[in-house]
Amino acid sequence: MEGITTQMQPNAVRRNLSALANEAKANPSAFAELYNYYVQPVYRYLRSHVHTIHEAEDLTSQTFIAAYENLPRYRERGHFSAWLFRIARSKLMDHYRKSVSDTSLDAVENRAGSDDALDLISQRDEIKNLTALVQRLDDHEQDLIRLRYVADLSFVEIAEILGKREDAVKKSLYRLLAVLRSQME
Amino acid sequence: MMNTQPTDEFEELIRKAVHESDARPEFVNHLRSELSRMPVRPKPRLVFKPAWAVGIALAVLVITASLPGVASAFKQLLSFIPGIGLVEHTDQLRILQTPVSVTRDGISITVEQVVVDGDNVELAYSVSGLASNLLQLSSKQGGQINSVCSGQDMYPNLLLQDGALLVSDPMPLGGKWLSDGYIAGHSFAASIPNSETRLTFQLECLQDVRRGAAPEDWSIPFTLVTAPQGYVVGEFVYEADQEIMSQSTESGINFAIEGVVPQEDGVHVFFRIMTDADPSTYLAISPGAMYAIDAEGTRIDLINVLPWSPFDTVDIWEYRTAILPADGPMTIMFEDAQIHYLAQSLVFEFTPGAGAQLGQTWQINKQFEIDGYGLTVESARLIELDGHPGFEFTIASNSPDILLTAELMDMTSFEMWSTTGNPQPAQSITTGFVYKSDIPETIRVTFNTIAIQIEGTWQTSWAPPAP
Repeated sequence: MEGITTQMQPNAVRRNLSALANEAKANPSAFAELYNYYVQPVYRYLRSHVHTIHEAEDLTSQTFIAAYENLPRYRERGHFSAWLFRIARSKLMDHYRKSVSDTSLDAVENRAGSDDALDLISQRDEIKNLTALVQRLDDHEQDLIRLRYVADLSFVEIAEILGKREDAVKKSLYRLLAVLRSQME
Repeated sequence: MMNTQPTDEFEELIRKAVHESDARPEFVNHLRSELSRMPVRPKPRLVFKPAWAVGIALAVLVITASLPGVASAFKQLLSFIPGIGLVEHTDQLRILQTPVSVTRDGISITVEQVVVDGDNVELAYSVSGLASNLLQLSSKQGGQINSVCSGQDMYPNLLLQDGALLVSDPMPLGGKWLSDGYIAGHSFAASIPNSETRLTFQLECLQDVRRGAAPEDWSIPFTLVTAPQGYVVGEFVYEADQEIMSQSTESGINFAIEGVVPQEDGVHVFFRIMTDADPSTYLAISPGAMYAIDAEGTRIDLINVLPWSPFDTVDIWEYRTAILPADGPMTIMFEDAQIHYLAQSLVFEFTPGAGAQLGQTWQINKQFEIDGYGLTVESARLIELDGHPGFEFTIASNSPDILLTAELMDMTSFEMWSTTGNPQPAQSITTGFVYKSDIPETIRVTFNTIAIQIEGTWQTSWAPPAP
C-alpha cells in the first residue's frame, strides 16, 4: 500500500486503472491500489480550491468514501480518474454551497494568495509573477490549469471531466499558457 | 497559424506556480485505514449500523455487518450508546468509570462514555452552556472561515499516561446540536494497553465557535475500568424479530423495521425501505411524513436523526419519536416514498445567444428517462437571484401520476449555486442554478440528482418483547 506515485503515467496504465476499478467492485483490495494512485492528486486538486488543509482533508475523505460506496455504479465507459474527479468536483461544489452563506466569496477566491506554497517559492520572482497572473484568470481557466498541473491529469481525462473534446481542451490550455507567457514578457 | 504549444520549460514554470503540497502521510494512512474497514459491497442483508454513521466511515468497534450468527445472538451482543451507536459486548471491553465534566467560563464539557475494544476506541462527549453569540458569524457580520473552530481542531485527541497522543479518526461518528451545545462521537483506530487506565481527553476548541471567543485547549482526565461480565452499557436493542415485526409492501416498495431502541429523547427506530429494482440504480429511498401510533392511539411524529443529503447512499434509516410513546406496541407508518437517483449521466446543452434578457425564455423540449420514469425539460428562463444571473428550468414528469424533484448544475463552473424553485415533489417543477457573475456562452446542464415520489401509505407494527 505504500509507495504512492504522483508521476504522470501513460494512458495505457490509466486504462488499466479503470479496469482495476471494475475489479474493485468485487475485490476491495483493488480499491486500495486506486486509492494509493489517486489520493495525492485528488488531495492537491481539492487543496488548490479551499482555504485550509483540514477542508482539503475533509473533502478528500468525502470523495474517496463516496467513490467506494458508489463503485457499483461505476461503468468502464471512460477513465476512472474522470469519474473520481467528477465526484471530487461535486463534493467541492457541495462545500461551496454549504459555505456560501457563511463565507464571503471573496475569501474563497483569494485563498491562493495565502498558500504556504507561495512562501516556499517567494524568492523566485518569475514564479511569483506567474502565480499572480494565474490568480487573475477566471475560474474556468484556473481550473483547467489545476486539472492539468496540480492533479496531473491527461487531456483525455480533463476532457471527460469537463464534457469537452480532447483537442478543444488542449487548444484552450495552450492558448491560455501562451497568453500567460506573453504577459510575463 | 500561431504555434501555441508551450515549451517544457514554461510548463515546468506553471507547475511550480500552482504547486500544492501532498497530503500529510498520517491523513493518507488514516483514510486508507477507514476505507479498508468499510463494509464490502454488496452489503449482507444483516448490515446494521447506526443511521448517523451511514455514508461515513464508521470505526467499528462493533458493527457487525458481517458478523456470523449476529441475529441469533443479537440481544446478547449489542447495546446502544447515545452518541456512539451500537456496540458489541466482548470480554475485553473497557468503559468509562464515570462521566467526567469540566466547566470553564460557564461552558461545560462532559466525557459521557468511552468504550475501548482490542483495537478501537469510541468516545462520546457533550458540550453545554454554549451561548449562540459565540458561534460563527455570518458573512454579513464579517465572518471568515479561518476564524472559526473547524476541521481537526474541533476533534478530540486522547493522551495516554506514557505520553502517546491518539489522534481521532478523520470522520466523526456523528453528533447533533442541542439548545446550548452539542454532543459528538469520535473513534480512534488504536489499541490501548490494559495497563493504561488513566487517559486524558484533549480538545483544542469547540465546534463552530469563533476562535478566542470561548475557552480553548480543554484537558479532561478520566479513568477506564473493565466492563463487568454481562454489564449493559446502554439500552438493549430490540431486535427486529420476524415473529413480532411485519413487513409492509405496497407499489413494489418494501418497508421493514430492523431495530427499536428506547431512549430518553424518544424511541429510535431503525428501518429499511427497498424496492425490487436493482439497488445499484438508485441512491436511497426516503420516507415522506413518518409517524407512529402508540398503544393509547396517539399519533407521534417521527424525526430523522441523521442529517442527510440526497447524494448519500442510505441502507438503514434512523428516526426517533418526537415524544416518548406510551408503553406497549406501536404501529409505525409513513406516507409517500421518494426514490433518489444520481443522475449525472443526464446532460443537455443550450446556447442563450448574445443579448439575452432577464426573463427571456428558451424552449428546450428535451426528453430524459431514469429507471423507466420519463421526464421532459420544457424550457429555460434567464433569472437573477441576489444579483447573480442564472437559469430556471421547467421540468415535467411525462406521467401525471409521477411527482418529481431535481437538482441541476453546470458542472463546468465552480461558482454556481443550485436553486430550487419548488422543493416539494410535483408533476411540473422549476429548478435551476445561478452563476457568480457572467453566464457562459454555452450552458451545459447536468442533473445532479432526481427524486421520484411514489404515493402510498406503508405501515408495520412493533411490540416490545415480553419481559
